[in-house]
Amino acid sequence: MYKANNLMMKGSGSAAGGLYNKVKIMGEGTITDDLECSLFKTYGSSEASGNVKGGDIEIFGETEVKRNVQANNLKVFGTLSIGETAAIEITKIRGSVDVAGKFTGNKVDLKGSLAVKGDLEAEEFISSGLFEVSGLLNADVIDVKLRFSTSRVQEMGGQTIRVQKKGAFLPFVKNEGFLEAGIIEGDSVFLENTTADVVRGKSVRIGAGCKIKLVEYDEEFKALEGSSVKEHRKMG
Amino acid sequence: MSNELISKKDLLDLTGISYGQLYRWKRKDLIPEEWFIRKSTFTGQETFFPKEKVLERIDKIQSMKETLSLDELAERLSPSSSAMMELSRKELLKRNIVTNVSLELYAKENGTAEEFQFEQLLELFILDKLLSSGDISLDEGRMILQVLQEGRGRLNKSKHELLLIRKLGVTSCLLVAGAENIMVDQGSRVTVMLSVESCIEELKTNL
Repeated sequence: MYKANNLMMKGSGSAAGGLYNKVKIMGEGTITDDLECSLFKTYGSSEASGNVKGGDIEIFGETEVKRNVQANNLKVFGTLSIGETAAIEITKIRGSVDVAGKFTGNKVDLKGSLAVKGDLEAEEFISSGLFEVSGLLNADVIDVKLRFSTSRVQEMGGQTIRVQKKGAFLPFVKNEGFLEAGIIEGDSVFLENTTADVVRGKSVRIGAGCKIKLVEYDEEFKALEGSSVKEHRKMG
Repeated sequence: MSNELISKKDLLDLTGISYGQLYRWKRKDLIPEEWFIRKSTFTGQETFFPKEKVLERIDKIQSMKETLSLDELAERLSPSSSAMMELSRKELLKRNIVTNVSLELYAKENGTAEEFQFEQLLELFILDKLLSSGDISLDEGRMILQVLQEGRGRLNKSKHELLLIRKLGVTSCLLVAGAENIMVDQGSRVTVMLSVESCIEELKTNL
């Protein structure tokens, strides 16, 4: 891979896919086929019609990939939309990312926004941004800080799940974040500002601002002040 | 195999595993996606599993996870990964993975080889399994080999079923992807119905 040539586009250009070392697009660029490279960087806007496979991918502008993305490191400060699936070891999102299929990875660090139409699977999911997962959000550790707007997830599952509310950046602006979920399941679950149908876990603590229809727990259950839990059952 | 389902709650109760473990195993593909069956119940959506299969799988994972890492386990259990597995002829016989009869038949069809790649091993394994069960004749074995070799490279991508149908003493061999229900006319008899996926799994545990 490292003997391959660099590809640099300044202004406006188009290139076929193939194997490259570094690909940098400043301005506007189109890649018409599958691309494999060690580094993919976009400062302006770019579009890839095929799959993109890269060591590091950094997007400062706007990028659209029509098919799959596979990478070790992904950093997005602008916007990235992926037409099929994403398999990314370490993801850092400061801008916004849109994935039409499944997202798999190791670590996801989200401060911008992320929309995934399929499932999202990672070992660690840390967010203080906004997310919408239409399938299952599955991670060992799910740590969510709700700063603004409403995040949505169909199902959430993992070992440790912690959802906390956090004020917006600006003082005096009363702006809170919320989470809406169908099912939340984990060994240790702590929730705030969350609306959910069912929460299941070994140890479940429901904090302020929550509206939960049903909690099923094995060992410990606590509903803190300012929360509403319609029904709770001890299992086993 | 029965079609009985078990709910996620009951499964965790019965096996003593935690949510964290179940979700981790799902992520590692130790429990296949298709086994997670979502159904509406009065509490909203619930997940169910095919009882027999999932209990057997969890048992397997629990007994092997002491000695193997999760990634190694995934390698063993998932049919789509067939990483570098190569065995020599001698090794195969010594470890009783296949019998000499099937090896000879295989050699007759494909020429003698000393080393076997995973795909070849699989063909050999299926042939041997059927031959030693007494369900097929040598001629039919040859036919099966042909069909399997035609489908080579596709076998571990999706679920395939190997079928052998006899009518009036004539045998046809079919390799079907995604066969749930197969109907045949009255004069025909399905002599063999074998899931390639389970063969891959079985072979991997033997290797």
